[in-house]
Amino acid sequence: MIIKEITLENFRSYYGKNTIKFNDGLMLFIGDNGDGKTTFFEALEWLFDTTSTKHNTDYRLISEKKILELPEYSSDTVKVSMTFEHDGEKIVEKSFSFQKENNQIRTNNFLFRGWYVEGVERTQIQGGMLLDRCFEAAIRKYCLFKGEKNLNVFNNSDALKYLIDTFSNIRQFDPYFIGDNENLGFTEFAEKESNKVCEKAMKADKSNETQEKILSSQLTKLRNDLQDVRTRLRNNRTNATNYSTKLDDLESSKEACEQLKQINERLKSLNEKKTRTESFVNEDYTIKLLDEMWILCGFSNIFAEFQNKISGASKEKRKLENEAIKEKGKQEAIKELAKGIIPLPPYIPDAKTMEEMLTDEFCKVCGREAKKDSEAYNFMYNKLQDLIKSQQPQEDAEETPVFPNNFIDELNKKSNTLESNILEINNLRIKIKDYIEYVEARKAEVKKIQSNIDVEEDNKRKLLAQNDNLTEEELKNSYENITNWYKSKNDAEKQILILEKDEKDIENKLAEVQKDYDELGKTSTANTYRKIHTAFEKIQNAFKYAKEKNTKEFLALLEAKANEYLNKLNIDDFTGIIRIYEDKIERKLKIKLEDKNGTFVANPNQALETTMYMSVLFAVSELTTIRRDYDYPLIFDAPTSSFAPQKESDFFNVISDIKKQCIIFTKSFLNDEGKLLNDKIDKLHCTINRMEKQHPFDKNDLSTIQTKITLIK
Amino acid sequence: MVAEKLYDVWARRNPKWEIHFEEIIHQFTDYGIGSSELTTARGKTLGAGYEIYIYAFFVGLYADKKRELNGETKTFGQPIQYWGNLENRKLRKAYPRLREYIFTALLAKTDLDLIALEKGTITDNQAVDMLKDTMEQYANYGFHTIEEKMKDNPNYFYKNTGFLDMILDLLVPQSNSSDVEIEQL
Repeated sequence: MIIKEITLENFRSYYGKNTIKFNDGLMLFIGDNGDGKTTFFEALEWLFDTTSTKHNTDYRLISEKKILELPEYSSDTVKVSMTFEHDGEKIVEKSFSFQKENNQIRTNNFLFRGWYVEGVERTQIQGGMLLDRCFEAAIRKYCLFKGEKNLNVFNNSDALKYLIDTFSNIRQFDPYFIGDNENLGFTEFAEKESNKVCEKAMKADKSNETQEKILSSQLTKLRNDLQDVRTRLRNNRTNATNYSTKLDDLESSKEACEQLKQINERLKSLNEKKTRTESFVNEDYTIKLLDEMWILCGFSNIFAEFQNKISGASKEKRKLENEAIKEKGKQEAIKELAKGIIPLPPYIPDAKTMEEMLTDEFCKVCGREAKKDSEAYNFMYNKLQDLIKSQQPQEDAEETPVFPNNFIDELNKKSNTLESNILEINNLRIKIKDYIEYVEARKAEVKKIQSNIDVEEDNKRKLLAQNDNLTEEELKNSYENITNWYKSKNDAEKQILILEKDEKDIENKLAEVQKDYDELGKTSTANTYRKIHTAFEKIQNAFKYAKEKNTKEFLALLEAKANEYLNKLNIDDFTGIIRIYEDKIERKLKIKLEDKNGTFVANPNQALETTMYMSVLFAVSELTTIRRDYDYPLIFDAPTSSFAPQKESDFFNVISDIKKQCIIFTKSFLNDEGKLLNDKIDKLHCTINRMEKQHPFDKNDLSTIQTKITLIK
Repeated sequence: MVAEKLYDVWARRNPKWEIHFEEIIHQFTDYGIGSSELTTARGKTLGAGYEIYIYAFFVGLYADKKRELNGETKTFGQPIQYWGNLENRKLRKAYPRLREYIFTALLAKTDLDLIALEKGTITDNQAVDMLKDTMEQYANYGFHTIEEKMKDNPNYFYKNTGFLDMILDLLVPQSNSSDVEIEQL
């Protein structure tokens, strides 16, 4: 199968109709991140998927730009079609329609069609059927590869066995010899049946009855034992394989495991730091206005006003009090100064005498008349009153104070108490400003930590995506599991060794008893049946060895071809030798790299590992082509990420010399600004297309992204 | 008989506010929500209803603008003496001293003849009536200003710094003595 043309219509970033012509040999599509390489690759994956129906009309496959431009109640189509050469021209096409209604997108009318093209005539056929006929699922497995990690298809259990079964000649043995316990080929069936007939005839022969009974019961027992040992062996092999697969996965993801551990540790510390920093961010400024009394930030002048008022009032009060005291003192002094003599005590004369004198209106002290309301009469009257007053209890003598209340004193005390906080109040505006600055700085810090967390989360996602054979939990627990897995694997392997020895012993014993039984048969009437059985047994073994030889030859050929490619792809570099071998314990085919002394290259660098797997893929492709007359393309998305620039150029040149349709999407040959490295491109001899986003576009708006493909060489 | 303190007489009072501000009070405080329901009344900026009243008072005070109360009025359930005690509220701090500062502000801003009060020619109750009147008028101005601001920008007070900004905007910029010195040089 050779791809001639691919058309993408409204498929994600491929807005409108985009048709790309293909030729044999290497075709490079150069584009930066987000330029549509993987989208193109995924469009092919979508087209080649003949099984799934659930993603067939996924609205996420539709070009965002097209959706945006589509008027309400209009419809359009998403389509991927491929024209290819495979025993004549053929077309396969997958499509579905979409409508915009009330700003919602509805999809329908899914079609998967194919056509045989003969001249101007086209014969329609179901698309999946056409693909399966021309490009069967088994091969598609070895055709599309995303990234470097996924090249390792052969680590997948049974992948190589499947390949051998499918593409070597050993399938032709299946009617005659299968080699497992459950299913029988013809030679195995014949051997078994002839043995049964032979044994039946032996039992019928009464002359050897006793001997036959002993031997056949031994045979039955040994066969049962053998069956049992083989079952246990199979179980242990399955266990060993399972644990070994897990350990292999772990081995290949050991680095990932370590990375994940580091990422999780970094994430933990970042999250703790974020929580800690966030705890310093308290933006309840409104609450602080009250709880921290920030609301007093403008209070200094008002408090000063209060203090002035109180101290003014206090001063005024004291002044008034002074004046009142002075006034009272003055009046008393005047009174005393005016008389110039020391007055008599109030009780001279006594009250009775005074009353008598007032009644008589005559002063009997100085012998003068004292008429009522005269000055002398009033003097006597007042003197009597003073006397009566002096004889009353003391408190009656207290004067009424000038200021009966003492509120100013209370206010003064309040002023003094509150004044102790006034410095703090004066500094409140600076404190608030500093606090806000502090909180903003913490927020900026949190934002920075968050962006670091985002980077780490992204790394983690990438890492987990690259290791989709293990879950995060398995990766995390792998250190704890590894001991158990090794122990279980070792236990199974030990058991296998013991059981293999048992199997051999029982087989030998069985062979001996069988020999005795056969000897007995020679003298029996069952001899003819015995000869027939022996003949079938020999035929069965012949098929068995032939099948094994065939497999070995296919693997040897595959290995030789793979090493040819490996040498080509690694010019002037250490390559090692690819070995395709059967793991004795697990009875599974594996690929490894050795040096010429047979030393296992445990951890080849990524570029070498990539070329190793690619070599096997090229070899598989070449061998299958020889066997099946039909070639098929190899399509890789970013397979050379780990290659040094020079190695990459050499690599592409080698591939372009291989007579094989090879389509590679890469971001190589672009400089840091995303511009083409033309001098390097000039040195390549293959077809080159440039993929890029059509300008202008809004980096935050998917509906402005449109991929443009230009043939540049 | 020992005379009662003026502060205590004032603190037993319950200032009035125009009834239509109930909406604003509801919007920002737990006003009208029973204490048993407080756990569900989350998302309010402030706690008790008087908290927005205190805020409104300071807005009027710093703007030094009063506004006579008009129309129907209402008071809060708690007199001033309980404001800022916050006994039942978690994650909040009590601020009883703020009452004392409010009291000093009222004395500073009320045209009250302290000598007459001291002489007893006006009674403590009459004096406190005057203080309360000042308080109500400042707060009333503050409430009207808050209302205006919300009309202009309904989200203004939902920013973290909304309430704080409004207060800071009312303040006279603090003089920077070093700047003055530089200019003089």
